[in-house]
Amino acid sequence: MNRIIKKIAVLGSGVMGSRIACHFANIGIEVLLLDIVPLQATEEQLKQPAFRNKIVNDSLQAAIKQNPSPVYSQKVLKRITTGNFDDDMERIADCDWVMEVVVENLTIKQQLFEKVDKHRKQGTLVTSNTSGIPIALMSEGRSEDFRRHFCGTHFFNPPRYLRLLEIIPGPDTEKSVIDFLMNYGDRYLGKTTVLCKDTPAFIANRVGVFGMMAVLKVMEEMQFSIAQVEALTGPIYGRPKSATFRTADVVGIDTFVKVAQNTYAACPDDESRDIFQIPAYINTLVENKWLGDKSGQGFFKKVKNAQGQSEILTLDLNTLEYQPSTKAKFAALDAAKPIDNLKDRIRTLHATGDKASEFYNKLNALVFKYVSHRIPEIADELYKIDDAMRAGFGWELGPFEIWDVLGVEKFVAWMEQHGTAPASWVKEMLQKGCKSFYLVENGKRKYYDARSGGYVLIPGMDAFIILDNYRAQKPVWQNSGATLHDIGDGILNLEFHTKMNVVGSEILEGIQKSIDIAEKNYRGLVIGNDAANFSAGANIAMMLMLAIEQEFDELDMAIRVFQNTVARIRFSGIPVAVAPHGLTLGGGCEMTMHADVAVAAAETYIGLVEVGAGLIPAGGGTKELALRASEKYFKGDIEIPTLQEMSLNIAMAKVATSAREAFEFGLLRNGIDKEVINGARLIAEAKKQVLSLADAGYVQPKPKSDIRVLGRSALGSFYVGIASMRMSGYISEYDEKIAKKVAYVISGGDLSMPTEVNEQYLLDLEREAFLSLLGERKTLERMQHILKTGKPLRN
Amino acid sequence: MTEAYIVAGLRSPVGKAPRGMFRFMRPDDIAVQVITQLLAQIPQLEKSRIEDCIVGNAVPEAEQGLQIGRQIAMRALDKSTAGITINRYCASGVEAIAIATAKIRSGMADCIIAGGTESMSLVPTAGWKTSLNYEVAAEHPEYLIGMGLTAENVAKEFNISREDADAYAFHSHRKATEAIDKGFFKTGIAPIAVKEIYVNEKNKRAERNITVDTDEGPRRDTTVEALAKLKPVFAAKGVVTAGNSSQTSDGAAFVIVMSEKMVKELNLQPIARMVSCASVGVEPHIMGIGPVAAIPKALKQAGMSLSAIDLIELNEAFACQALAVIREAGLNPDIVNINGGAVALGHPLGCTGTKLTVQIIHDLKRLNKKYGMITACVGGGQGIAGVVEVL
Repeated sequence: MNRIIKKIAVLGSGVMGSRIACHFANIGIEVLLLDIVPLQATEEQLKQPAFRNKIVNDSLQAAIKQNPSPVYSQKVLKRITTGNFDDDMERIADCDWVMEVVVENLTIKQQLFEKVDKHRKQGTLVTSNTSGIPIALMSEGRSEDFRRHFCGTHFFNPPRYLRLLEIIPGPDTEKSVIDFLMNYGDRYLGKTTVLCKDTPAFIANRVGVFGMMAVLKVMEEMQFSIAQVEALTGPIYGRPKSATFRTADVVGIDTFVKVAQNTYAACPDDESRDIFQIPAYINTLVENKWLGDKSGQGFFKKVKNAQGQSEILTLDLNTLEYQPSTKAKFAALDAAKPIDNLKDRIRTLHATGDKASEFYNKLNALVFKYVSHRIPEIADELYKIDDAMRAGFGWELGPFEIWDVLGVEKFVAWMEQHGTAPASWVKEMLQKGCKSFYLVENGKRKYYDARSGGYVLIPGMDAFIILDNYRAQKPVWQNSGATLHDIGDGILNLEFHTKMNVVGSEILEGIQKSIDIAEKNYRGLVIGNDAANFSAGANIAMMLMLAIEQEFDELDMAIRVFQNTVARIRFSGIPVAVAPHGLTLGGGCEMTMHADVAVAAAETYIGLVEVGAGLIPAGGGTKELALRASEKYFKGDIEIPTLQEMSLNIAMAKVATSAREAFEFGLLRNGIDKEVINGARLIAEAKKQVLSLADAGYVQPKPKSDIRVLGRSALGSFYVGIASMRMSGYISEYDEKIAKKVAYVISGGDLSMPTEVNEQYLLDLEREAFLSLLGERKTLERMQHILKTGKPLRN
Repeated sequence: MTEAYIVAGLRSPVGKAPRGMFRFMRPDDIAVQVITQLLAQIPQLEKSRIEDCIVGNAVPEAEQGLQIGRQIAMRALDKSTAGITINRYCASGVEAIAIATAKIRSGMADCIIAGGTESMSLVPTAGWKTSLNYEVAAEHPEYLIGMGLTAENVAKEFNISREDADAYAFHSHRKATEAIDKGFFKTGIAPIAVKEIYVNEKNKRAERNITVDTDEGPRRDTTVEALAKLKPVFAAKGVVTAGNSSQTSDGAAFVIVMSEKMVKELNLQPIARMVSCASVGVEPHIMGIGPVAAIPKALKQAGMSLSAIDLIELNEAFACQALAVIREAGLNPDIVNINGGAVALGHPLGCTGTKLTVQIIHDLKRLNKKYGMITACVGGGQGIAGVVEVL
């Protein structure tokens, strides 16, 4: 039976409740958000409806102000209505799902569920969001229908952005409810859903907190400093920038201690239980109320130095005094730094043979032992632990995946030499000749199943296309910046793999080649990748070099090639989908705008940001916005405001904070381009779109020759607006110069009257403006500054 | 030369735009109601004897389009009454009276209705389609910049501080609320009937009728501290805020101007006459300073000195601009805007000049004084000043 969610009640509007409410509003669901009536109140106050909803309204306002925002667009907020537990509980009868997100206290939750049981209609889904209270206890005493439709969920904060959603069924939860939540969380909420057992701290926190405690143990043993550990457990090893201690400061050291203590208490049979014991110095921190960011100091402390600049001091764990940070030096780090590929880097870090390698080996010996013993206690399938750590803790590779990278047999041998061992099933696996936890066959990933003693397909993955799984297969075409994969059904995928997926000549060649190949032998092409960001834009380092050398002919040629390549995405004999996600800037945005269909992840941060580098979009971006404005004009329209809205995208270097906002900005096209909530499904969905275009009978579009540009009828107003911004001190003189170029190109120049022009006319204007800016010292300074600092310069 | 007399004058209350009590009221409808009540004061004047209706309006398009002057004349007066729309932006309402006076003095007419009407709720200040001259934009954008920015320029060139501007704004509100409480505006205001047709809570068409008789702009609760908290709206480090600028408003005001001959024929007692009126041009980037050039010219025409003027209505386009004019023109602050100005009471562009004239005539009468001056700065870099004498 289909379960259709139109309206959800979220009970509890704290940090998690209000943000979960926002995320449901994001995906289009009506939300009823309730919380308690303020406890301390006068009788007079209790009569005022506004006062009765004060807690819920204040929390929602606080959530909305968060940066990054919990909402895709301000427009989604109208889907949320608020109320309180005393006056509005009966309204949950209209809801298809009731989600409890109140304080982590069993009695309070049970009391609330008693009310929910009274008001909900039969068959309504009821879930509790918890990070540790056993699900079985919560539904005790409830009606049978309630218990059958009751399940635990565990969102991670912030729920819009953190990918993990743990699903924890209770003893009576119907299978259909579990299936629904696993699918809904994935497809509708965009999460990696992991089915958990009702064990202490579920999967991610159990393993994640163990991992942090294991770091503490090894660092104590090796007498490492915080700075050294941060350097070793951050991005170099495929972990978040906040590494170990910064993460603890952000989460709150007391929270971290609480989970560790709870796990210690709840797991008397853990073979590694002692690791969860809190070291004395951490107890001192908690006693001192040095809890991290929320108390202003923890493992780090931000201070102002004598020059008035802020400086971050690091705690010395021996003296418990804050010291200026020192840079960690390890041979292994020096060796690994230049290596782009994470797996190669990890192997190097372990193999260098210095103190850092020893640290990694000792740490992983503890972690691998722990996770191997958690099968089958917390999960029957090992991939769930990897999924949970990737999605919940931001590890690029989960523990079993890292183990595979290091060689299972090799590392077990190392463990045994050093007096430790993994769980027995790992040895049995090796004895059977199964040398890794995962293997890929025909693009499908399988995991080693300890129960059956063989490899099993990871369920539900048929619907995903993960480019990593195509590595074993010979690519259709490849160069140093891009790889063309055959992803089946006659569809190709072009993957970028330069640093930040910056677009240089390799990627341009890749696009040209892929389309040539697809036109010969395939039905369509997806341009998409699984990296953190789709593309940070064009390679400005190369352009800067040519500009400094005043090689303007060469620059002109380079821009023509860029323009032609981007145009080829639209004007080819096969349908092409571009699948943006994460940062999609400048040239990446221009590619997206020229797709037959853009299939964007909900989390796409897209924009034409060239102005920040002292340039204007010249890969068809400015032309395309002029074209899109022209398509919006209607008979009797005054036109100028529409064109102005479009031009502000460029002039203000606006970056949409979600795909939804990109539709509002006009960077994605309503009715043509698509949004996919779960970014992991992006390439698979893009492939479907390409197939659907091919099946419907794709015909190559013709370049437009009826683009209505407004000429000086718009340009005068734009120039005055821009000059006013400069006179008001909002923009610099050089900003004015660039903004006027944008206005000039997007108006089609200073034509006497509105005129119909073709795409090439506008592309030529774009290119001329771009080249002229490359001849300006201030543009070169801006480019240099971006390359050096990653941030725009306002000169 | 025959003399031209003002025999009656009324104004509507001023509504806040764009969300005030006149938010959906058409400017022609407000004008018709004001003129109808104005005519009721002179029952012996037959509509057909009114020859022309001169209507000041600053953005004559959309609801103010199709030559609103004639539209108003046909409905409020007679089919035989001509109608004209004139536009000198914020000076339009003064200019309308000046034109009527000049026509009658020169014998071109005996009876004209002059005034102005404006809905800033319905028609944006720069019109719906702002298409500026490209050549001018490229060479002289300062000819075309927004008024807020010109006010910032005035503040900078004439050293007006944020503190002074906010204090001025505060006093404007205080004086205006006091005047309302004491009923000083009552005699000059024509109450306006507002009929609203809307969708009610039952999702059905519904009607409601109210009568509006009081200015909506003045804020009793404003304080210097509250004004100091507002952010500048026109420049990054500016002094001009929403609190020390004139309010956007809706309203209409009209007077009846009549020849000496007709006054006698109808046996009327004239209330005032416009003695002189002068318009001048100034640098457009500091348009707010316009009155400084216009005031001496109007005085010279009238053969008067500034000291002979009893009361001044100086349109407060911006507090900083009004302060600069008071200082540069050497005006006595005690006689300027005694009941507050546009910062508190609002500034319905094309209506403002007539509204201020109606106000000053009633104030002069109440205080038993004789000479008043109406002056305003004008977009594009102009100033206007007119002298009226109460009879």
